[in-house]
Amino acid sequence: MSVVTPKTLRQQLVQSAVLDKIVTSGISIDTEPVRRSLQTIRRQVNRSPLMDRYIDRWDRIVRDNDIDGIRKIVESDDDTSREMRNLSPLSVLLSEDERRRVLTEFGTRFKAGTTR
Amino acid sequence: MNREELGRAIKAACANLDEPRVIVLGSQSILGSFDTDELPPATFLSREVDILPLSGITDPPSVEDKLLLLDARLGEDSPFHTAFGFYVEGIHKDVVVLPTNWDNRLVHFVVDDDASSLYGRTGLCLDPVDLCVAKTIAGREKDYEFVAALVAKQLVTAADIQARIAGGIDWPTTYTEDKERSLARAQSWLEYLSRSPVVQSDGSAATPTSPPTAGPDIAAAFLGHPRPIKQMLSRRTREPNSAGPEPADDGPAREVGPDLSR
Repeated sequence: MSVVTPKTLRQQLVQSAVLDKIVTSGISIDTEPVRRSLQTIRRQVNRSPLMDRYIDRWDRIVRDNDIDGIRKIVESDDDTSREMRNLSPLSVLLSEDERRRVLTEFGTRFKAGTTR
Repeated sequence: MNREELGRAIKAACANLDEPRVIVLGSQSILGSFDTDELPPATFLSREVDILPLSGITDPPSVEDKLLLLDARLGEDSPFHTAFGFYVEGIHKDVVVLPTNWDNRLVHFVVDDDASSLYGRTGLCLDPVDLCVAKTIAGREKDYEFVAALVAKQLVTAADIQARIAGGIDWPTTYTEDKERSLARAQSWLEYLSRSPVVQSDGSAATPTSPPTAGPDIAAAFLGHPRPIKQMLSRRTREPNSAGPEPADDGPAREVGPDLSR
């Protein structure tokens, strides 16, 4: 599906902000909060082969500290990348203030009518 | 997600929006019609509830601020999400494709609200067949999994969904894809689904994304004893947690975060 929904845009902005933070601050993503977040997501989503594939891919990315893998997910616009962003465990790396800043940017774009 | 959590999401959304009713548009609207012990797990394992303020229908210009408010206070990675493990996704009606007259078939999920006798909190959930129409037309693999699981459990039938589509689609003005192609894809998949479901031991169904391989015995078993649509819709209004009292709404509804709408 090629329609850019507000959710798609918001998740792209959030994950992009996470990637920026990882790159600029050099923090590791293989941390306890991220692993805990991934476990929670795995528990909450449909136990289907499709979802298992996505979650397993995130597991490998976290374990390998795979920044290039994250970049591909952030920058791609196919269904798989959208679903990977939807299931990302990395948002916990943003503080509440940082999340609010992303939402402010999202709100500006949303109201400007770049999405529906 | 379960009905208690759906009720909490509805109450929190109503409280933050200062509206008595919201529309539940996504997959979790199925909980308005069925309890989790009736549903295959594939249909209620979710991290989010898609909610549209009712004013999004009655007063469309106001909806954008309200959707942003839901994102900030109850949305993904919000304190509400952290506290309860699920979040509210504020969504615009125009991102969902539904059959004609969907709004006349909404299932009223009434949530007790001790805080106010003036506001009964009500989630207006999609009728299960309407929900399956939306999923089938969306046509992502996870959508097919959802519909196939409901059909395998005999809670809806492919024929019901096909008939609802044949009754007409309420296409959003912003829909950019080829409508005829979307309909043809949906009908083709439903034809295939009606012929070749593979019922799993847990009641879920393998998503038929490849040519049918199931034998006629499986197809015959699947097609037997369909649940009549009238029987299903006769349960349209259901109280959550009918087996016990509704827990107190102690969620951080109004307390969390600044009001971005001001």
